[in-house]
Amino acid sequence: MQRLDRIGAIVCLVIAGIALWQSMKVPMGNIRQPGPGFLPFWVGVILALLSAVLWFQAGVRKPGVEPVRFLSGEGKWPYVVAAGVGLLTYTFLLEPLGFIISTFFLLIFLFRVIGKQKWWVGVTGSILVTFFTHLIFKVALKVQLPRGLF
Amino acid sequence: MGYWDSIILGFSVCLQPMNLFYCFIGVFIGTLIGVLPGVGPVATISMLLPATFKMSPVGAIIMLAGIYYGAMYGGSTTSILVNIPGETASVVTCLDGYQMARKGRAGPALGIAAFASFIAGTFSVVALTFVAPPLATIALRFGPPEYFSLLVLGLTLLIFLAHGSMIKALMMACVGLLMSFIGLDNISGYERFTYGIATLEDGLGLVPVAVGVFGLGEVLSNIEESVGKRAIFRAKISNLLPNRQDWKDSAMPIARGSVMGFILGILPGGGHVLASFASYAMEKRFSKQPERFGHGAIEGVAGPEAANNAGAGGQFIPLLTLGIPASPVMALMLGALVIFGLQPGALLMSRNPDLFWGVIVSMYLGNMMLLVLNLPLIGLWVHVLRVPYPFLFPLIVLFCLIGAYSINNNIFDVFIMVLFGIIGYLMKKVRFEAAPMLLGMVLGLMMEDALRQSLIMSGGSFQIFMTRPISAGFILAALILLAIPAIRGGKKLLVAKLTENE
Repeated sequence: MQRLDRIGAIVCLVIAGIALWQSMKVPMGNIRQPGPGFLPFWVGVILALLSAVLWFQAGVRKPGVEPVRFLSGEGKWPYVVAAGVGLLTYTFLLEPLGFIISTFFLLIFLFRVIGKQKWWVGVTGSILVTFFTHLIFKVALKVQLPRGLF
Repeated sequence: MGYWDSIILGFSVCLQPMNLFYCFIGVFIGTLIGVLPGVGPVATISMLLPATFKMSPVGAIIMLAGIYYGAMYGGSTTSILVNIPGETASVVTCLDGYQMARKGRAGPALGIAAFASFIAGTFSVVALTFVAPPLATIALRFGPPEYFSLLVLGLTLLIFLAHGSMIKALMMACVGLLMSFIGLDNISGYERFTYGIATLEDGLGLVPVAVGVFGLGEVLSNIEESVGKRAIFRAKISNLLPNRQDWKDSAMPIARGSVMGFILGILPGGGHVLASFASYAMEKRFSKQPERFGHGAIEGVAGPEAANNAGAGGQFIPLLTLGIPASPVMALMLGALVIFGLQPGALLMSRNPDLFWGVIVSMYLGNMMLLVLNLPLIGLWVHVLRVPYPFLFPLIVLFCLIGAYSINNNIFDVFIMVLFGIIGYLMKKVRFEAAPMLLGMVLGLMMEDALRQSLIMSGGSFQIFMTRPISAGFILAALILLAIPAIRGGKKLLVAKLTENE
């Protein structure tokens, strides 16, 4: 927990740094006439201060109060990483391949690899789900889904 | 227009078959996602928002509202039967609800939860009917300083409520504020934090971020913790009707929970989650035998369930009268109203009475539908609970993806959604709460405009927030909240109790 709090503090400090840097690029204005950089700058300052407080607090607090299982739940963390990578791949394939094809493969991946279903369950499920979501969203609700190849 | 004319107008709007149908669909979906752990109203409303673009504005808002208060009903079922809260607002229902189920009293627990929800839900709609119009008149007198102070109070309240460290919650609120500044500045037209990415000029979309953090992030952590193996209460559920003693024990908690829930719901940042926690603490204090709490006391189910439903109703007040979304759900409602070209706020009631009263009256009918859905049809939801997670999560993921894409037909939003899903997962792991971040993001621009206008008004003096009485009241309340460690002690005790019971 202690170490994770410190990582969180550093990440937030970086965000605060970006905020300060970016807010300098636009007019700051003054307190009588605050410009677009005014509030981002001060929120950045506050965030930086809070990050520092969290960093020091993490050192003071008794460690081991709440052990956090980070990417460790029953050895399943590779699945989380795999799911993340799979979804990012999907975002890149959605437009070139179209909704139907890319969704079908994503679902097979999720059912079979992440959900550990049997092959036939995965394939049948993927076909049915792709078909029905296409029917509901594209045909019935007229949501624009990427056509891609067809 | 008098109250009766308004209510009759409301009925004439929502008794139209299409609107009745939307109301039913809304509460049905609401109950469904309430029952399913890991999908909440925020993610669901975000996902379905694009699907409402083709509907009439009234129908769309009726349906979205139905999802929200419907989820409050459904959440308790999961808490009672599985000891996993279906919604954050049902966390406290686990404490005594599950214990009642273990003692063979699952039926009365479910029954009283549904009745308490119904009574409180109806109470809050009645209160909404009578409180909203005068508040809208007061709201017309709000200037930028009052808005700013109220928004500060809202954020403070949410930070105060954080389960873990208040510092972390404050940090998340700051990050959320910074996220809201992405895009073109309202007043000067300067680009901020866009890094030359064209899509970011319009700002970071609330829908992709909300779906990512609350939808996908939740799925990712469930994949890791294999929720598929949850132990579902197997015994037959009988005797849904609470007996005379149960009613005697629950009557006052329901009444207190309804009133308190409604009042807390009105405050931005408060809402249904705070209401349910506060009600549980209060009932324990009022009880003659507080030791029964945590071992299946029916008051511990009735009070919080009433409070969270009343809170859900109360949340509509700041939105409909001030145009301030008190929570991420309300921010999505506001988004929906804006998409339909309606300006939420003090003038909504006079300019769009059909929408205003139609939505309010639909909640009366929706609550009745929910009572039917949740009592005679309870078996259906128990079956839903038994669907294994490996079948469920690909569907949730797919709905997240479609929801994020269809809001603007932009693949970049899908990317943002996936990114925030991963961020949401990591935040959950390091115990940084997402709610303050999202509320910060929702309120950020509004706060900035109000602050800048106030400072221009006062010539650069922050005293303007303290010299105007309404504004000073809000600021004072916020300061008190930040300064009371005693109440936090009480809250910590409750949280400790919660983890102990898990």
